[in-house]
Amino acid sequence: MVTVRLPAVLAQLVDGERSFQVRGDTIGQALDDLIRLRPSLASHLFDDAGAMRRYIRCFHGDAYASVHAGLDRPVQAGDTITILNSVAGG
Amino acid sequence: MGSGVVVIVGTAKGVAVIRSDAARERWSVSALQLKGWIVSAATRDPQGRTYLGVTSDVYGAVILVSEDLEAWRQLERGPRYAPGDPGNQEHNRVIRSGDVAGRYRGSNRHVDQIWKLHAAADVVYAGVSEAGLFRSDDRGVSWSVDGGLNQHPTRSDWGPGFGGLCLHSLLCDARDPRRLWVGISAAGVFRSDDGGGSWAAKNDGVSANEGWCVHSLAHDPNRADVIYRQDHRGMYRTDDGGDSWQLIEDGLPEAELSDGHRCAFGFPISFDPGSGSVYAVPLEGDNFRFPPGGALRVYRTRDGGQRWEPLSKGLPGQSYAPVLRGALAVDGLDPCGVYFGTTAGSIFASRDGGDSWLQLPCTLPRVLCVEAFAA
Repeated sequence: MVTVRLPAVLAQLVDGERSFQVRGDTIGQALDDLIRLRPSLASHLFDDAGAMRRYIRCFHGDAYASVHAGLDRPVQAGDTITILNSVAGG
Repeated sequence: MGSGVVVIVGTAKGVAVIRSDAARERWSVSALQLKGWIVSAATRDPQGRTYLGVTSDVYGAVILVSEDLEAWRQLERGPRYAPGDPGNQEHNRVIRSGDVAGRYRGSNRHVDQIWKLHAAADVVYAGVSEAGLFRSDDRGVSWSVDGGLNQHPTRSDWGPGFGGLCLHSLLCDARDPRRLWVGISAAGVFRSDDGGGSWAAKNDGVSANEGWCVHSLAHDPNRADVIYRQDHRGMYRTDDGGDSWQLIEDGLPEAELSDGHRCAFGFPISFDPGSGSVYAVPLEGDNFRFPPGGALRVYRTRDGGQRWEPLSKGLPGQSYAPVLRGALAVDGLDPCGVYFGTTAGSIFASRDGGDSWLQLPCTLPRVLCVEAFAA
């Protein structure tokens, strides 16, 4: 199983759950499984055109997984994917 | 007398629920819920379900519902433009390969924010930006876009106001639910007599400058053709459902706009069907957008706009925090309760139709919308 961690803002809309155990061999498949568990997350993670939302950052372990190429990045059991919102300003 | 009032206050960083006792003397303010979410619209349906329009700059716009104002549930299929919607250009581009991408296809028009929620007898409406109107006939389970607005013949000429191209105002005729009015910035007012199938622009008599920039609408749903309109370029009234509009500014403070035009400028208006009073909160023109001279005043007319009077008892002597478009509401009780919130997070309440005001003991984030209901 792969762990997907959500930021606090988003977790409020899924009963406060910050962490999910999902299946998948890539980040994209893991997020697919997350959406299977929590369908309402689809509209938050991906825009109407199907792209990951512009200000979401996705990390695989400690490594930044770029929005486009990152979804095909392989993951293994025990790995952690962290969803973050990008921060700007002061 | 009932058991009190519930006031829902949507802010830039969450929602607060304010409750009063039956006399509307004692008030309690909840902790902020939905922290970090922009709560820009609220309504309650006849069965008592509350709907919130919430947005995140990061995570998009959705509608949440609650039966108890504590547990909120996201509608899984909220308002969304889709490639097959009339008027939308389908480009059907697949953003990337993989299982996730295969499920999503795009359209050119996006729902950025929920600006208005309105629950009529059997229908819930959502006004959104990019400007459009959605309706749900099953309490939010599914939504359909209004094709008449989506492909309106003037649509290509619509331009955004300062807040974007948004449908922020909606009125429904309680006696004939096929009759609807919407306010779109900065395209003006449109009326449908056939339940949204077709729409006609209704701006005759209103001063224009690069489009009709309606700011808000209010009426008595049971006397629907008499409509009040706070416009960028003044305060107006129509007696014929929008076919013609007349200025009603006697007693309102006049402001100079950036183009030199002088009029009564402001955003929110609210109508109390019980007393027939209309409430407005003027601003010092589009250059400054704060209470005129730093004096926060609510204005009331009790004679249909022939004369407006300032209401200031209990309001601060000096305040430069404006009241936004959706941040003024009435509770429908007798005497009427009036409520508003400022961009500085202050909440003011009146239980005597505006004659006197009480500042509630809280400072919230920037207030975007206020809705009040008898509990």
